[in-house]
Amino acid sequence: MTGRWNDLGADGHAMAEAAFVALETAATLDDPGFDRATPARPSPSALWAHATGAAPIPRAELAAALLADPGLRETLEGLMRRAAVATGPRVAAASTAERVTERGGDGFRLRLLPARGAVDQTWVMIDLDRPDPAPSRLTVLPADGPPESVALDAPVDGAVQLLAETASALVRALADPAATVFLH
Amino acid sequence: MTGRVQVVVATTEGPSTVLRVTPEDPSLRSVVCLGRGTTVLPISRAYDAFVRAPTGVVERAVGHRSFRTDVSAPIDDGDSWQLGLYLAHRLKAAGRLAEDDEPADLVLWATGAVDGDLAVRPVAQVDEKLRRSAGLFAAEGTRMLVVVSADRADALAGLPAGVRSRPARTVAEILGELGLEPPPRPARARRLRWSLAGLAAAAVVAGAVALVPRPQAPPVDPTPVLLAPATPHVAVGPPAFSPPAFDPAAVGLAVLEARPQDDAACGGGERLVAVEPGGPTAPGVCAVVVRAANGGAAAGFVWLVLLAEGSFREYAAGSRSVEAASGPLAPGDRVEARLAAPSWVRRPVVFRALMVLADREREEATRALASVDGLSAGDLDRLTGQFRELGLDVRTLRHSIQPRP
Repeated sequence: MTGRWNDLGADGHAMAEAAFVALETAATLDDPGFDRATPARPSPSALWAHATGAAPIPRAELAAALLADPGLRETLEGLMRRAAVATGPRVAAASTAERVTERGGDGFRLRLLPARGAVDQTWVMIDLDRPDPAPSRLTVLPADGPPESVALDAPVDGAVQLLAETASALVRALADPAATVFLH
Repeated sequence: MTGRVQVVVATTEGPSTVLRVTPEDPSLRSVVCLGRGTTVLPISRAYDAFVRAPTGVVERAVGHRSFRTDVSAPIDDGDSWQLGLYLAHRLKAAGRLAEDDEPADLVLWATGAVDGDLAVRPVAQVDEKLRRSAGLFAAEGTRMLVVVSADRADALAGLPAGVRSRPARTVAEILGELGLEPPPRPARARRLRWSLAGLAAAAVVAGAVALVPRPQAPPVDPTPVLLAPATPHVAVGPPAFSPPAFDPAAVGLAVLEARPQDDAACGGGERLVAVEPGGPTAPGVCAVVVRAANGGAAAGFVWLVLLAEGSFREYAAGSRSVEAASGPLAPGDRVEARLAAPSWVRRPVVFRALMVLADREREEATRALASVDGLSAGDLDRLTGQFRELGLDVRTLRHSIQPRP
C-alpha cells in the first residue's frame, strides 16, 4: 500500500482490507508455532480496523494486549498515523510530569481551556488549518494505557470544540506530553 | 420590579430552568449544557448564532460573545427558547438572574422566538407547553410571570388565578416589566442617527453660507459646503466633482444552469444556460450558477450565497451544499457562485440564492458569511433578515432543478 488510506475510495478500502486479511490468514496458517490456547494478540487486520474506526477493539481487550506486548503500541501508533487525517506528535516538555494545555499537529492546533462554567470541566478546542477532509473522531494514544477516542461534531468556522470532565481519561491523555494525537 | 428572577424555558416535555449563565473564553462558541454536565444540547449551534453579533442579539446587548448556559432539562429543537434565554442574559448582566439554587423573587416562564429587531414571534405548541408546566404553576408561594407572544394571548386564558401573564409584542415590554433597561439600539442605528444629524448640520451650514455674500478672498477650506446646492453668486472655487453613487438596482442577479455538453454525463464539458429563476427546466443539471453583474456606473460590493435546500444534504457527506462568493463589483464586473447539484437525486432540488449589495465592503456582512459551511435554510432566513436590518440591499431567489434525468 503506497497511498494514504484516506485517499482511497470505498473500493480501495475494501480491496486493501481483503488483501490484508488474506495475507494475515495465510501467515497464521503457515506458522508452526501458532498456539490457539494463547490469549490472542490483536491481529494486524484487527488493529487496522480499530485504527480506521471500522471495528473498534473492546477497550479492556486492547488495554490488556498493550500491557502484555509493549511492541504492540508502536504498531498501533503506526497504523493510526497511517489512517489519520492529521497527527499531533509527542510534545517536548521539561518533564513527563508536566501537563500541556496546547499542542500542535500537521494541520491543527489543539488547546485545553478550563471551563469557566464548571471548575471540573475542560474545553477541548481544535482549530483546523483546512476544512476538508473534516475529522469526525479524535483519538489520543498515551505513553501507557489504551487509546482514548471521542466523536467530533462537524467543524464550525474551522474549529471543533467539545466539553469533557477534567479528570476524564481523554483530557488526562491530551495533557500528557508523551501522548500522540490523531484526527480521523 | 427588582429582585432575583429565575427563568424557565417552556418546552413540550416540561419546564427547563436556566441554572446558570457563564461567560466563556471568547474563542469558544456558545453552548447550552444540560444540568451543569458535559452534555451539549443540540440547540447549541442555533444558540451561538443567537448570541454572536452581528447576526446574534445577545452580544449586542451584553457585550460578550461566548456563553455557556446550563439548563435543567433538555431543549431539543425550535426557536421558542430564544425569549427565555435572551431575558436570562439580560438579567444576568444586571446581576439579577437567580442561578443554581438561589432563592428567586419571581419565576419567569417564557416561550417565544426573538427576531433581530427584538420583536417576540409566536411559536407552536404553546398550549401543550402550558399544560406540561401545570405543576410549576400550581406551586405554592411562588410568584409567577408567564410570557408568550401577543399573537398567542388566547392560550393564557386557562392559567390558574394566581399566575400573572403577559402577552408581549417586543422584548422591551418584558424588560420594562422586569425593571430592566430597554434593549440597546444597534450601533448602526446610532451611526445612522449621527449621520443624519451631521447631514442636517451640514445643510444648515451650507444654507447659512449660501445666504452670506461671497467674500472677496477665496475660502480656506471650501470642501464641506461645495457639495451643497449653491446659487451662482456664492459658488467658490472650481466645480466640485461628485462621483456617481452605487446603484444596487443596476446590479442584475442571473441564474444559469451548467449542463453537460452534447447531453453527455456531468464532469466532462459543460455549457452554461441562462434560465428564468423559478421557471421549469429539463432534468440533467450538473450545477447551478448565480451571477451578479453590475450594469451601473459606480462600483459597489457584493456578497453571494447559494444553498441547496432539502434533506438530501444528510446523505451528502463530504459534498458541499452551500457556496459563497464576495468581492468588489466595479461597473461591468460580475461575481459568481457555483454549486454542484447532488448528482444522485432524481427529484427536484431547490437552490436558494442570496445577494447582498452595499456601496462598500461591510465588515458585519463579511464576517457573517466568512464561513458558510453547514449553513441551513433557517440560518439563511435569519441572515437575510439581519442584513436587511443593517440597511443593506438584499435580494433572494429560488430555483428548482432536477439533477438526474
